[in-house]
Amino acid sequence: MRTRACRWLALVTTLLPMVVSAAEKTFVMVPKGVHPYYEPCYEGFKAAAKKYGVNVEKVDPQKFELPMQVQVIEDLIARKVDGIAISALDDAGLVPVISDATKAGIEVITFDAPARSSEALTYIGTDNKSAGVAAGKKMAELMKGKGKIVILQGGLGASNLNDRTQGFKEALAKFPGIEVLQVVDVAGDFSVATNKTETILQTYPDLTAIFAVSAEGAPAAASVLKEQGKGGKILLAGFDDLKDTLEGIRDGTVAFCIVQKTFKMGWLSVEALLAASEGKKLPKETDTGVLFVTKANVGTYMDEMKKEFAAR
Amino acid sequence: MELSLPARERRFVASLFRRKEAAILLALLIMVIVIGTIAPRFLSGTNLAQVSRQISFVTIVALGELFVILTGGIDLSVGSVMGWAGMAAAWAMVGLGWPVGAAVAFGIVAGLAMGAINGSLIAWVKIPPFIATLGMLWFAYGNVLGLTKGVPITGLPAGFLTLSRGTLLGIYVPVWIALALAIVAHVVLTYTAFGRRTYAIGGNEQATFLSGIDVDRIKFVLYAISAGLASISGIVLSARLNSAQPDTGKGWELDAIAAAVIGGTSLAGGSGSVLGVVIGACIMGVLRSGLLMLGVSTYWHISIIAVVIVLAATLDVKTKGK
Repeated sequence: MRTRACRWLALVTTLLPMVVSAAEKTFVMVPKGVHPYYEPCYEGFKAAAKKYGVNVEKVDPQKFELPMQVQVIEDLIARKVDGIAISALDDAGLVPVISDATKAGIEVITFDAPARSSEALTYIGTDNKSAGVAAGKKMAELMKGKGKIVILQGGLGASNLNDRTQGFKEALAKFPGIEVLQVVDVAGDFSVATNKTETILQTYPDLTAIFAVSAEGAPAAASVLKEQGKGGKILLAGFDDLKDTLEGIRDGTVAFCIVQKTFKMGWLSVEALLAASEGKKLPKETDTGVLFVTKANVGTYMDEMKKEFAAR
Repeated sequence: MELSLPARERRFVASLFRRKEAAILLALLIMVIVIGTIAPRFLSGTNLAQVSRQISFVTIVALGELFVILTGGIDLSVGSVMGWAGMAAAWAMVGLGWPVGAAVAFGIVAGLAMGAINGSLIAWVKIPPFIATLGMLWFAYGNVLGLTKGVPITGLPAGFLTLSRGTLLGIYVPVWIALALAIVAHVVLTYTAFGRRTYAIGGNEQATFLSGIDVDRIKFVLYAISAGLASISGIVLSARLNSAQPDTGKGWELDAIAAAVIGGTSLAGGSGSVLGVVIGACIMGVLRSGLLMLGVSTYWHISIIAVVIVLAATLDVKTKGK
């Protein structure tokens, strides 16, 4: 008698959660790796999930390496989740696994970094080329249309960085008085960026400005400028809002930084996955745009980004 | 080469040329002269001071690698230990409010702890150094990531920053630290029983063991030394970067090993010198800075550096045993 009741109880407690959660969809965010940059993305993801009543998770590849990201996605296919939002480490490399996921009935989209050759239904993120152009225009304004500038790039193979640099150079090309001296590879490494900024300051004593297309560039260059007492004398700006970069904006070493709307990327990803799971067609790409952060709005920009969605 | 000098001086000069490190020292001098001719700014006092500071960090770590490679071992965890120690020291200052001296000591102890784990696994559990230190590479880095969630520790006190920005006689503090550690390392390896035994283990471990030397204990100490030196470098590097980044030191094990190998350290153990390691680190540092200053397209930097490293190592192999 007791064992029969136990068995019944066991059956119910096993099946009940499955029945309950079958109604709720599960969407999973797969960033490129472990990095604080994705925190606001996931905040947006979670906030939208709360509003729309879906389950969400984030699974990070342990390293910024393609095989690890592929493995994470394969695990999710085995778990039969309903939707995956991927920040793609590679384009061609993800084609097979995204194809497998799609065949398994999982909705797949990309955010933050696209995989245009794959079957991903849409890309939600920054149009890096136009972000670069916008940055170039602002920089040219601050340089008053003339001077010499060096670009710091965290890895010459990254397509999103190359797009930014290309856009930036295009915008500067309209100003014949501005000369782009070099594009320097800082390998995504703070210490390399620091060393190279030092060398650049030695090589070009009449340098007007430095621009960093990847996050580690601005804070590294800022620390060198501060040490040499050149903060504010050489224009410095860059992508992304790392803590040190914001510090630099507050104390005047960094003129501005370009912030990607990471919260928006996360939010729109949930909306896109939901729409796809309801059979709706998605646009090929959605440009989440960028925001300029200067001394004027350095304290308020984060809340303003989130307020955009609180009303929805 | 005929010199018109009295016999004793001639023999001394000849012996200098016969020193193993002569070949790479010559290579370094040629590089500096070539770069300095094309870009004279390279030889300016400010630039040389800055480049020598840039080189000092790898030098300290490479000294640690020298100790373990001399016994035929290797330490792949030095990069991660750099980040680990830097983070520990930063946390002690910012999170616990400790004074700079205590925090630095704490960071070094944290690193030594990892070195002790390495040493125990290698000396007594007999795990091959490659595997043990590879495991530690992930363990230390993983701990840093888990504890910091990828967020750097900033707001380091101004006193700490002098570890990197202070100068004495126009030379930056990290360079003095590297110099001091190099001298100590040289004295230990050349003039102490511990040093002689280290070379002996590398030359023939069995024979050394059979002659009654506690090989295990020496190995344990060597891996602790390697981690300790990496910790010092990581902490001083954090002072330079004005923050403890979780990625500090990532990949540095390769640079440290390369510097040691260019400097004539044999990966099989038994031969290598402090002077060689310092020259090796200088060659890599001068190249990196020099190529940038010469305006060589960034796309080609890595290939060029690789070619020069292999050339330097070849030069070294060919001139050994003369």
